[in-house]
Amino acid sequence: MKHLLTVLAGFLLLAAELKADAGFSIRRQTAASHLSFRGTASLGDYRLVHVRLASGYYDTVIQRYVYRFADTVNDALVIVRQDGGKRWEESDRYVHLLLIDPAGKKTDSLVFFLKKHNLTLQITGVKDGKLQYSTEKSKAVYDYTVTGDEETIQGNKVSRGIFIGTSLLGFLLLAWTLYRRRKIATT
Amino acid sequence: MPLILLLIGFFLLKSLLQLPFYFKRWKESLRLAAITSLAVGPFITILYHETAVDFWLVYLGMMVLDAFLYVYLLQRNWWKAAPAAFLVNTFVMFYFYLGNG
Repeated sequence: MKHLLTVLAGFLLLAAELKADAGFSIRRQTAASHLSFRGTASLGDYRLVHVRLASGYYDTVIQRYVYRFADTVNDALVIVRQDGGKRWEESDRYVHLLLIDPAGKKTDSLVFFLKKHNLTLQITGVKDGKLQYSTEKSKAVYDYTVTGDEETIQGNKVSRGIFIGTSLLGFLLLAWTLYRRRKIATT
Repeated sequence: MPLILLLIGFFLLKSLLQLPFYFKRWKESLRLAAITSLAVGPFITILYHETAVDFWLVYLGMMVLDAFLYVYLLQRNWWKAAPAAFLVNTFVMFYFYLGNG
């Protein structure tokens, strides 16, 4: 009987594991990654554009990548990669940028991968048709909210601390309650 | 999901669903609901957004923890604690998913 129960419990756990892959945790929201830009004025007549690859990516007939232009980059532009989950829900994490010269020809292309980190692109200019830049990396963190007010999102570190502190307080109270109970039971 | 909504929701769900099982010790039951909401709610939010932990395991862990607490703090009866923990945590998980998406 004991063996039978153990096997049954094993099957249940296995079923839970398989089910987990199929749907329980795929909607997990990960921290959004941001790509922001500084010093776009130093581009001069050149234009940096954020492009999205059209469906199919590579056209075998004309033998080149097919782009869909999205935005011209400026200091105010922030590219966000928010969506994320597991496997098939994973969004496109790559950001494609093209440098276009005043005649409208592509002179440089860059690809950035955005996941778990925020990137700031410090543009210093253009040299021989190539973009001169440096990047700063910072950890992307989830925007915790302590109250429903959207403006409080700015104090993310504080909010995170409050979440952790509240949880710790709860576990301490729990431990204290258990400790008290044992004392009562033994006296 | 805002922390205050999370805590109020967890507390209301837990206290209401525990009540039919532990009606005779309702005060202790309410206190336990408040304390476990405070401990577990923010903790699983952090787990959910910052780690890749399988939430079936978290769900199972919450049930085991609650059943253990019911037995050691409210009434020494596993046959009552197990269904109570299952019911409470199932509803709590639904609420958590509604809020966090």
